[in-house]
Parts: sequence; C-alpha cells; structure tokens
Amino acid sequence: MGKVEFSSPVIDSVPKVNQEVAVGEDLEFQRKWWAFEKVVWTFFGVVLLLTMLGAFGRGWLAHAQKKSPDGALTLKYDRIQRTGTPSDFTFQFGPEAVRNRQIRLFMSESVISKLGAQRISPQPAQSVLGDGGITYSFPVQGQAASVVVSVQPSGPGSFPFRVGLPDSGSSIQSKVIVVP
Amino acid sequence: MATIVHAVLGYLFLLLSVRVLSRRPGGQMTLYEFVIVFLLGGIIILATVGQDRSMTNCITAILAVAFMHWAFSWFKAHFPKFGAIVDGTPLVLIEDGVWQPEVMHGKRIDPEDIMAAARSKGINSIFDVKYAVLERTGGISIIKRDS
Repeated sequence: MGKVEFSSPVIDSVPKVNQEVAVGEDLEFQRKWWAFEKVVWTFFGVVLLLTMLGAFGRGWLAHAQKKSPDGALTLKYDRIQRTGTPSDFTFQFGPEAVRNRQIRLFMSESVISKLGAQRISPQPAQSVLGDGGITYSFPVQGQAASVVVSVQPSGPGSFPFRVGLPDSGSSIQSKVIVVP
Repeated sequence: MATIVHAVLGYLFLLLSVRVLSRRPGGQMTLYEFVIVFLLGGIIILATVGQDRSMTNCITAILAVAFMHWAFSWFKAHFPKFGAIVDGTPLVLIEDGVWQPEVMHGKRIDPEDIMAAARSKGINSIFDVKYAVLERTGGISIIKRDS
C-alpha cells in the first residue's frame, strides 16, 4: 500500500461533555426522535387494530354479503383482499335461480383474470365465453346448494366485478380492493 | 419489479421498526433481542421472495437490499444529519458519576446493562464509572474514574 499523505491537521470537531469527553451527544435531536417514536408507535398500534378488524382483509370489516334485487342470488365475499392470499366467493341460490334443472352463473372477466379465480366447487358442467366474462352451468337436483369460487389476486388495485344469473336477469355488481 | 419494490419497502420498514424499538439490538443483544432480530428478518423474507423462489428472484432481492445499504452508507457519510436519523447519536448515561435519568428511561437501559459493560473493562463497582456512553452501535463505552 502506498504512503498516505494527510495534508489537513486533525481538528477537535466532536462536541464534548464537561469539556472532557468528546461524545457528540445531541440531546435536542434525541428528544425530537423520542417524540417521533411516540407518533410511530401510535401509528403502528392503529394499523394493528385496523388489521385485527379486517380493514386490510381477512376480518370482520372485509366480509361482505350482497343479494340480487329478486333474492335469487346471494354472494358472500371479502370486499378487501390481500395480494397473493386465497379468498372465496360463495354463491347461494334461491329457487328462482334454477331453470331446466340447471343454474347458469355469469362471472365477469375481472373475477377470472384480475382476481385470479383458481378453482370452482363444484366443477361446472359447461363454460361459455362471452358478454365480457364466462357463464358456467351447474346441473341441479332438488334444492340448489352453494358454489364456491376460490380466488387469489396477483396484484393490488381496485377491481369492479359483476356476477349474475343470465336466465333470470339477476345480477350483483360490486368491487374488491386488493391491498399489497 | 415487484421483488425490488418489496425488498426496498421491506428494508425501509425494518429499518424504521428496529430504529424505534428503543433498545438497540447489536451491541447489547440479549436472547430476547435475538428473537426480534431473527423473527423480523424471517417475516420480511416472505413478502420479498413471495412465491418465486428462483435464483433470479433471490439474487434480485439481495442486490436490491445491498444497493439500499450502499446508498444509505453514502448518504450517512455525506450528510451527518441523515446519519443521526438512521443510527442515532451517542448518548451519555452516566455523566461524571451522575445518572442521566432522561436518557436511561428514554432508551430503557438498566443499571445492570451498564455494569455488564463495566465488568468487561475490569470494573466491579458502579462508583468507579465516571462516564458511561451509549454508542450508536448499541454498545456502552465506560470511562473509569481515576483513583
């Protein structure tokens, strides 16, 4: 290693305590920092509380239920979801929903692609593309049970969607907010 | 892109969380603080890497964190106030043999922590400590009283 030349003399720049010990303490800054810490911890507490309540998904505030005007279709879902986290859309049907021993359920394209529909239980007998979405057909025997669509959003955003029963004209429009 | 964003946000959030934890892990690490350090690090990895466990994604995340670290070091070196915000400043815990209660309570430092540092210097009584300084690293420096 070459010889290092230090051309400037050392200066006593670090503030001292009692003119004795060079510490560099800044108590004024530290007091401001403690005040800032209180604000941060209050903010963290509020965030935790809101999270427990479901304001960021997976909780009471996130759960939602919507019914079509004629009561033929009821949808239970999470209006606030999290990126990459599974969630369910649960559809329940009234007797008016059954036509020719089948239920046809329309879901807009946003449910399939943006909200990332992964699985439909039970499996539909038929899927038809069109009208900005997909119409699924489920054969029915006796009283209709529910259909569950599992979704897993791939990114954050606000995603309006529409679901409905093409045969009766019932529909539900809403939106899901996906947090990062 | 998402990996880089998550890595950067994770780095900033971790830095803020550890900085406001008052007791500074690092210099005065007890087992209790080890739990915090490892748990926080482990949790942030989940969001940074996500479902993509490829080498590409992991290397991207590492590079993003390394760049953030380099950038912060550069800013600390060139802007002392930034350094004070990120690392804090040294604080006097005992000044000329007198406790500084505001700093002791504010940093949640116990007399036992100071005595642990004193013992490592071969000091076995608190009365032999003239100055105790909580350093930015979290360690406690002891200046012995001249007998």
